[in-house]
Amino acid sequence: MSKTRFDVERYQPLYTPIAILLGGLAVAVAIFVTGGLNGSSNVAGETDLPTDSGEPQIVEVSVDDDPVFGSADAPVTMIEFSDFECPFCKSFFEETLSEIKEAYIDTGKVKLVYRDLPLDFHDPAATNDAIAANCAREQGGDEVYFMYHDEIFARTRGNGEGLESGVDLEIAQELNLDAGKFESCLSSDSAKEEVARDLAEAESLAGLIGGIGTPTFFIGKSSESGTIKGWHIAGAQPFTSFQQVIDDLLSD
Amino acid sequence: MTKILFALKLLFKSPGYLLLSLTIAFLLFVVYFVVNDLALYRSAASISGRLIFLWEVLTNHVSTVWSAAGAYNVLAVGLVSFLSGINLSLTILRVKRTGVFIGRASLPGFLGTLGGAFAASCSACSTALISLLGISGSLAIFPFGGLEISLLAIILLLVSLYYISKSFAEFGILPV
Repeated sequence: MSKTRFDVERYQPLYTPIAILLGGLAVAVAIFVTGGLNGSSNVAGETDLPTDSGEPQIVEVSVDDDPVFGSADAPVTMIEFSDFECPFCKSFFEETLSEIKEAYIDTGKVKLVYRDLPLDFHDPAATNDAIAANCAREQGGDEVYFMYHDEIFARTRGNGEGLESGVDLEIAQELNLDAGKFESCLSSDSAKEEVARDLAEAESLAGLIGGIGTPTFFIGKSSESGTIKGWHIAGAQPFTSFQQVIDDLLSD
Repeated sequence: MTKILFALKLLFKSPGYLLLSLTIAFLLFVVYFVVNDLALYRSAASISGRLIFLWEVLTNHVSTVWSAAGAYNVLAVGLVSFLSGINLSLTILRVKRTGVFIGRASLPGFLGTLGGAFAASCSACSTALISLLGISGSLAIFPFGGLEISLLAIILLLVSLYYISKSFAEFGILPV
C-alpha cells in the first residue's frame, strides 16, 4: 500500500509534460488517421479545382516560343519559370532535373520548356544571364540554349552576383558561337523583349496562384494550342513530387 | 549564468520535461520551415496529403536550404527552436511549481520564438514569410542571409531564459 503511494508521488512531476505530449500525440494521430493534411488527392483529370486556400492549382499557361528540352512529341509538358541567379533554381538544376531527365525527358515522355523569371533583387545579373542564354539560342537553337543554361548554373556566383566579367562570352566561344553576333545580340532589343514577355506572363500567373517565386513549375498534357493546363508545383520540391504529377498525367 | 544552469539542471533532471523541451523544439523547427514556404506545402499537399510524402518534402526543403542558403541558416533555426523549447518547458515547470504565471519574464522568449519564424528560409526565391512584411527579396537582401534575425531571436530567448531562471530563485525553488 505504501509502495503504491510512493510511486504516485515519485512520478507526479512527470504528469504535466506527459499530459502535454499526449495531447500533441493525439492531434498527430488524428491527422494521420484522417489521411493527412489534405487527404489523398489525384491530380489528373481535375481542372481548375480550388485548393483549401481557394487558389487554383491548375492554370492555363503558354509555352510561348521558349526553348524546349526533350522530344517535341512528348505527351507531357513541364514549364519551368526560373531565375539563373536563384540558389534554389540551381539546387533544382543540380539535384532534381537530372532525375527527371533520366526518367522522363530522355524517354520521350516529358518535354521541359524553360521560361525566364529574373527577380528584380537579382538584377541586373539575372536578366543579363537570361538574355545571354537567349542569344546563344538565336545562333544554335534549343540544344545550344540548354548547353548555355547548364554552363550558367555551373558558373554563376548566384544571388545576383552573376557571372564574372567576360564569362558570358567565354561560354559562347566554348560552344563555338560567333562572338561578334553574340555580342551584338546582347545589346539588341529582341532578346530583352523575349525575357520581358516571360516576366509579364509570370506576373499575370502570380495573380492566379497567389504569388510566384522561383523556381515555379506547371505540368500538364501537351497540346497543339500552345498552352497547357498546368498543375502548379511551387519551389524546389523533391523528385517524388514531379514523379507523382507526371505519372498521373501519363496514366490518364 | 549560475541561475540559468541551475534552472536547466532542474528541467533536465526530469525526463518528462526533457522530452517536452525536445518535442516543442522539433515541432517549432517544423513549423518555422512550413510557415516560411506555405506555397510549397500547399502545392505539395495538393499532390498528396500522405504524411510520409509531406515528410519527404520537408526533409528535402531543409536539405535544399542547407545547400543553397548555407548550413548556418538551418543550424540557427535549430538553435532558436531548441531555446524556445527550453523556455516554454521552463515556463510550464515554473507555473506547475509556483502556481504563478509571470508574463513579463516570458515576454522576450515569446518574441524570440515569434521572431524565429522570420529567420527560416524557403526553398524558393521571394516567397519567404518575411516577404509578407513588404520586404522584397526576402532574406537575400540581408548581408548574412537572415542570420541577423536568428541572432536577435537567440538573444531574446537567452534574456527570457535568464528572467525565468531568476524567478525560480525568487520563489525559493533554486538557490538565490
